[in-house]
Amino acid sequence: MTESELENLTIAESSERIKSGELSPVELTDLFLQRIARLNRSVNAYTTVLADSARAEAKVAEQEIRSGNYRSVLHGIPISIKDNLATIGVPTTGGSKILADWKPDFDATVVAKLKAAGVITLGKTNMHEWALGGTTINPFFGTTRNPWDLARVPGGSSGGSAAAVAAAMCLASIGTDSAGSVRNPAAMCGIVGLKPTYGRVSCFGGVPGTGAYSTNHFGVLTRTVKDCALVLQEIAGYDPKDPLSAAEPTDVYSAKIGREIGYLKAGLIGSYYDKLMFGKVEQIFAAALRQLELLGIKTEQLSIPHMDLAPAVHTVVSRAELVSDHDHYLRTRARDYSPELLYRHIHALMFPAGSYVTAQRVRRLLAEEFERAFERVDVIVTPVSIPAPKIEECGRGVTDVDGEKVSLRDARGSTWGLSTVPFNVTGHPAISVCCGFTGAGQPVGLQIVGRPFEESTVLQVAARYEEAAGWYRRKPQLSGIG
Amino acid sequence: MKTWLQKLDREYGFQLTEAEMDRILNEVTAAEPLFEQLNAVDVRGKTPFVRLDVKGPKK
Repeated sequence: MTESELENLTIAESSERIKSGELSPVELTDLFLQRIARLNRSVNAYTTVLADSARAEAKVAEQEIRSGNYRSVLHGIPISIKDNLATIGVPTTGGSKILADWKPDFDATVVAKLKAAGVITLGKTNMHEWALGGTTINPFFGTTRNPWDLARVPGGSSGGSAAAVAAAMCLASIGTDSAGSVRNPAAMCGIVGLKPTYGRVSCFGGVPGTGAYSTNHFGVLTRTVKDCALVLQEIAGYDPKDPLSAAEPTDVYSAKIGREIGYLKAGLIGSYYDKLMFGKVEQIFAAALRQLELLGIKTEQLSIPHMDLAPAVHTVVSRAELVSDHDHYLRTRARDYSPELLYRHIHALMFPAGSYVTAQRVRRLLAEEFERAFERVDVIVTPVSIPAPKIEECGRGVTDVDGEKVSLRDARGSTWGLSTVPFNVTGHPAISVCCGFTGAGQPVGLQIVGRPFEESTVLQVAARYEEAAGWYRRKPQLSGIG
Repeated sequence: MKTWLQKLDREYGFQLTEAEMDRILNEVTAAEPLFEQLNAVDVRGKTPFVRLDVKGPKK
């Protein structure tokens, strides 16, 4: 197999070839490890590469498949895991100095499920410190770079996962999303990122303090929507180890992929999202809507009266929950946080207790407003609005989007989080799929949001759009690197 | 606010410098509108949101 073939490979295609014996998991794993060896010095997607164990896992997978013990569509598929999911005997840092030497004696439920499905784990991916930021500029493990432009960030906090998928350094990655940390890096790296419904995927084994209890989700990053459905299938479901996981039955997530979408209606929230589109993003989003309409989808503007309060609710709720998780380390190792994060936690210690409850009550209002909106529409579509900033722009706090200056932060948090946090507040399933490129060649994401536990519909719409628009065929040029 | 921050500094042993305290207090001031926005909402009769209603509307 050539590097070009590897760059275009998907799980759906490779699993069929692996099952038939045409493609060897050992050879596939070696090819990915060679590519990681060539690219990781420049991209810094991985903090730990598990070359030896990956090769051993691939040999076992190959033997099992040859002997007729084919476990799942993920058998023999090389993937990566964000470094805030516990992996037995393997460093799990949470992107922090404090946990730099931690090797858990257990696997996160998602990791255990993927191992049972027969995946090959290539390594652990870099992330924003404690998953609490959107750049993956990490003071302890270095900056992950965007495969589309190495001078830019990949987004975050699952930036290593997104960069690894975009650069064809794995076929899929597992990330976490407490404010957009799967969808934003997926958008900035031009790939697919799914945050399932709150509770759909177990969060047992996530590093405490890397996602607020009531807003965190484990998610999937892949090159195509179908691949995303295949991975979700293996990790979804109730987990008695996670008291916040949902007992709702799982679905066959790829069942509706390829089906027509002309009978569906999409809601728009222009009153909120129109203010978040800069440069060519507005044109790109409008073109994506036209494409959906060509596929037969009807659109309707929705009224979510308290939508503008979603970021404030998220900030108050998530910071209050997170600082509780960090209390021990704040008392014992405060100076092992980056200064910015330390100050943020100290600020959260000063939040009035009543404000947390007030925010949760406003959150109820928002949830009810979305519940009513979803009586009118099947999905909601929005932009994932901020394309990847340059690394030095993150320090200055201002990015340039097609000549328009955009502030990257305000009191509500990061600007890029504004597109995604509403659905961490409500818990609805949401996916980002590439919908075009800015004048500087940076990918832009289209967010498709569904009703609770209706990931299948989200994936159905995303897959039809993806195939019709065809942006997924465009790949970053990395041939001269390494 | 500064007295409260100094109390936290002693309790947690942060050993914050004056410049660090000023920076945190600036963040506190900048965030005040967030709390004001939330406090301005009429939430009478609304129970806190605990988790997504799994019986949400389905067609």
